[in-house]
Amino acid sequence: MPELTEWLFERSVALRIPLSVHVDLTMRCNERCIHCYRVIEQRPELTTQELKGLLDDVARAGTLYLTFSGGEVFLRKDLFELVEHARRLHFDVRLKSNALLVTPEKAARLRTLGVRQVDISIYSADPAVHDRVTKIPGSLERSLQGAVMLRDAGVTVKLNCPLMKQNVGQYKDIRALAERLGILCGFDPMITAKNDGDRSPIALRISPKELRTVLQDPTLNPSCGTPAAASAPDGARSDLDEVPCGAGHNACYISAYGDVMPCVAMPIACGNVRDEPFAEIWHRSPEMLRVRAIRIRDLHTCSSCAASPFCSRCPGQALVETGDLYGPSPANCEHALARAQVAGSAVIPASMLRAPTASTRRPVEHSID
Amino acid sequence: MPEQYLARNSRTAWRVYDGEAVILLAEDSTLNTLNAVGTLIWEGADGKTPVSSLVGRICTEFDVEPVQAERDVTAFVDKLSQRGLLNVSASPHEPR
Repeated sequence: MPELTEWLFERSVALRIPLSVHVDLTMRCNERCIHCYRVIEQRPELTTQELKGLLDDVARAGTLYLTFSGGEVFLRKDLFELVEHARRLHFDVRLKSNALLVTPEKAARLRTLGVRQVDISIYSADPAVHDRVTKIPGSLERSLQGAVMLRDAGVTVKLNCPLMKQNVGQYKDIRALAERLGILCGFDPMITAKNDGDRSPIALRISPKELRTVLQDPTLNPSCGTPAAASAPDGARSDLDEVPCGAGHNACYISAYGDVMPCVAMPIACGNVRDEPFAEIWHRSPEMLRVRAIRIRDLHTCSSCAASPFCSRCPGQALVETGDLYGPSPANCEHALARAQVAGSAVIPASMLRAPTASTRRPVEHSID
Repeated sequence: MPEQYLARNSRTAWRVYDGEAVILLAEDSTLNTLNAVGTLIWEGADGKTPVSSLVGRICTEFDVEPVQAERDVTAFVDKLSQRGLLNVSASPHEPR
């Protein structure tokens, strides 16, 4: 992390500022991706006026980085009204979209409004593979047309590609495609369960062998080839008093229905902006305070894990996978093991050495049912 | 010296934390931080407030001599203009 970014992260944690807020504008989507973790509910989505009021509140709370996502954001007829309002409040605005509905006019407007980046979901450079994931024939071609329109308008574009069984062999072609188009790209091998706890998307995850192959590619894993990070043989960690991640400290998620959660990956409803102001939920919700109180030393297995230098544990992932916010995420442990192996280290994640016993497990304080 | 007006680049995002501005430029995603005096100038860079007025506020709020304040503001504005964060004009205008 660059020095100034790190300083801002630490300062926002210390000042309890929700520096990064992710707002889902809608759960409606014009694609039907096989791995999608969104769940459409019967409740009404936030209206234009409710969202504008929310943005006012979030600006007052000090948020700088604002992500509009969904669902497909361009399905909101008021998208530009909301982006304009957000930019008037001096937010850094980033959109996540499939770009199917982008036109040259819309792209130019986003540029004029000062949107910093649009992330576009792409699953393959091969239309047959991509369209099989989205279940929409012709979607790759249209998404790439949208990407080019945005690029030509001067908006920074990044192709985001979750890696799963269906497309893991395609990532080099996607990277070549991005280079040819002169835009950014990124890959994520973590497929998550649905927000309602449905674990069916997890079956799409790539195998440990495929993961090791991906991690051995230095262009995808910049730390590949560098000496293994030092870890104490007994798993003693020097970061026991640090926070596990930014969720609830300087990061926050607000659903299309107004639910406030510590992070998009941590489905713990802390309150709803239709019932109480955002600041009240952020500063005083018991659920938010409970998440905010967690330190590395409170993690019953990870706090003594020798593989921690190779791990980017996600508490939300742990919660969704096991129901235990304080425990390891099996998927993160698998990734840590693969990273360690690729780095030439023999360490094994603590969760794989011994099963947690009743006496070492903390009670499950959050569940997603 | 002719009057000048400062306007923030419309492609910046920014917040003030504990009296210090943090600015992000969309073009290159770079972060910039300003001290309290710089933050006063940044917040006043609305395209309508004359620089002389900002210099006056700095003299009052930070107990600085006008000559020194004017010199500091000129150097600061040059630096932020070079970074593409501020635009300087000879007449007031509404920010885009």
